[in-house]
Amino acid sequence: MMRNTWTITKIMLRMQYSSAGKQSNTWIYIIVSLILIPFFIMLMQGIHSMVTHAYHMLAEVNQESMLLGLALLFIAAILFFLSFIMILSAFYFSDDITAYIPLPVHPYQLLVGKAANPLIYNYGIAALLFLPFLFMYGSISSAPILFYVYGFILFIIFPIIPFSLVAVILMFIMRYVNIAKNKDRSKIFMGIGSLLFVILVNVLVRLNMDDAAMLDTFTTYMQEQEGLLRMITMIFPPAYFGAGSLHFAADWSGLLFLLALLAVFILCVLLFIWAGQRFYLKGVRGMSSGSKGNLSAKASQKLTQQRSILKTYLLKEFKMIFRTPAFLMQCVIQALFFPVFITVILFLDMGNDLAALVSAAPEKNLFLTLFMISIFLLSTNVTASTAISREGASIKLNLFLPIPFQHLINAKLYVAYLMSMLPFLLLIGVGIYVNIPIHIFIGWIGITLLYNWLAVVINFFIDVYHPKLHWTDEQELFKGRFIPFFISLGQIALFGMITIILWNMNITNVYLIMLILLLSTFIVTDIAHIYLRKKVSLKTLQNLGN
Amino acid sequence: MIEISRINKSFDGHHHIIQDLSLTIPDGKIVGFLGPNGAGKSTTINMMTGILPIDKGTITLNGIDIDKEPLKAKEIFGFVPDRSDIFLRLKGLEYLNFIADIYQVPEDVRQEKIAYYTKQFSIDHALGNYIQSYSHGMRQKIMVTSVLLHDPDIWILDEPLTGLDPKSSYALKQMMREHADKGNTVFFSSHGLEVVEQLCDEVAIINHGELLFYGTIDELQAEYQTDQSLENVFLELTNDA
Repeated sequence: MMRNTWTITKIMLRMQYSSAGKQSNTWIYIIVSLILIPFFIMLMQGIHSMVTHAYHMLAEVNQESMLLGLALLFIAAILFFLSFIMILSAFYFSDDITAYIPLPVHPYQLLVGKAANPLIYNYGIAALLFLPFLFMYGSISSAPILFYVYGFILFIIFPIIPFSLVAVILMFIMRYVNIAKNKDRSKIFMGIGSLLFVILVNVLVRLNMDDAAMLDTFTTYMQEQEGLLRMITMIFPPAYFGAGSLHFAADWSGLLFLLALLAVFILCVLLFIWAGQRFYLKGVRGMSSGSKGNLSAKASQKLTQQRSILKTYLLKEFKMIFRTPAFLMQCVIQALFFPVFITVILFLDMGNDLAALVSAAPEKNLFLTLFMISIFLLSTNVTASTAISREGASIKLNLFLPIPFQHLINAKLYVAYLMSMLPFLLLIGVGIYVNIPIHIFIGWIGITLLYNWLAVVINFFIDVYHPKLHWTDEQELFKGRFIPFFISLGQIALFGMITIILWNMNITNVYLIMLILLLSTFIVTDIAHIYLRKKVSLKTLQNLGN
Repeated sequence: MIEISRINKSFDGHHHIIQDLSLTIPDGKIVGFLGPNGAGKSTTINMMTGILPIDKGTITLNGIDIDKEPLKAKEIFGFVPDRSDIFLRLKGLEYLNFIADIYQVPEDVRQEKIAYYTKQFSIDHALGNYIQSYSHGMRQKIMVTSVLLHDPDIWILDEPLTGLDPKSSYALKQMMREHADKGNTVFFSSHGLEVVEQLCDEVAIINHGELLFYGTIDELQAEYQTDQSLENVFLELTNDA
């Protein structure tokens, strides 16, 4: 039984990671690492000083354990959110499951195989967020060796808890939405629906908060031993057990906390397996993709209107993204989630606070913060880095069509540019709401429009040279592609370092800052653009994947 | 007319897929392109249609070099690829209109042709569905219809009859004959030797990237001094018997 589970898992992972790392990309990793390392060091220094301050402040009132709870809650929240997207993608948006259904294995065995890849990502994120914090907290608090042992056990079991809970919720829901007539449409509906659900939960939690009552509770809890920890982790008890095990690592009670967490973990895993066995296959089977085939004369007439070659190719690209659930989730919805989330939260209860913060912040810092938000949003958008790969092995078949090569390339770049702008448009709305001064606002929009082109060109270039064409399922395209991910990180790190340097320099004139950033972005964009025009030709596309 | 002149193709610089292949396909003929799996048929067709670059040699279509003037050359042929799993998320009619846009077929002409050919192939009822929901045969039919929309001089078809039902297969064969009889060129690859024997004016047989024979079936039988079927000669020629 275990052997089958392992075989299925291995095959599923191999399918998703098979085309990764075929070419020698060492130089890309070296360059990006060179950019990333100093950025990471700068970032860690900042976080370390924040943690140290918070620790000493809380230690004075004997409530430093709250920091552990806060960190675990933060990680749980991130994992909850990411698990929603990853589970939907891996469990329901990928059609490869149909190839496994005829095999003589239990549904839960398929589920374990399907869960492997999202879990690898969860562990990656947990490693990035939790391990540095663990060592920082350990060194500040002069923690015993058991603290690190428990910390490591926590690192192993904790990420599985939010993952299992999200999986169980989604499997239960999908069991019932499967009645929808159109497979793609119901997948898209579910994807958007579950993200809205995450936002809704947040909204409800916030709406139920009464500031005065909160302050009272806060004061009461502060007088109790580990009171603040209990208060903040009430919403997610595993964080309480985890934090407790670390805080009391030197004591027997630490072990008890750990055992309690272990019990929760086992319960979650059992629930996951039970729900998988009961609901999973019912949720993926039997979806039909049929729709009305006959078209009215009017509809036919509308669909056969003549358009220019560029326009028709652009439309085709948009249709492919919006009609393919995996593409829509990764290229649009995921990118929109953060701005939508921020917008909702802001409009609910923080709009005034943020507006006050905006008016109080030095103009230079405000502009640099806005600039970094744009860099983060635009660099991580995957529309350009999958422009070629989205077509899969049939990309070359476009080449027999008499489409001018430049139209082909431009259509892909324009679509990626516009898709990346969608989340930014929302942020512009937020900007107006919180009254960003007009000159900063214009400067921010200007540099964002320019930087977007740079990000699109770089990401597109990477996809041309490292495409993933031989996927059998659209979902595979987004798995195991480390180069675009590293390049995005590299872009964030490079501009992040420039921002940190400008932040710490003695320049106070915001116009000068704008000019420096605009010029440097313009120069890099121009070089990237010239390079693209020079290096990417019809031959490049003809030789793709050879 | 298609003129293939001493073309070569290798994927790693050493392992040759096509070696010094030369072939002239005249106007007014249906030419069948035969060869076992991996013989180099699709690679040759991909070079003819500009999908793959040519390492050495030239290919001209009605006198236009596909390598030097790709856009002009692509406008004069219609191509049905061997895989029909492309543009799956477009509706049948959207795909046909996409192709009509690319070849700039006037609106009234495209509407008339779409109505006519989709009825011929019995897919008129499914034009509002996504290609993804089509059976293999229906996908093949939509691909063939797209070629007919812009009325190209040269038809290049990679396994066009695979998956077609008898009625559609018959209709397509009729269309191929009519197209060639008008003085145009039809070049198609196939594994169905009976169809080739029945339909083609000439056959080209390749194996291991080299041309083994080009001519009529009668010439083939004469050359090998046999009155056996094309199947037997083919098996003998490609050493697969």
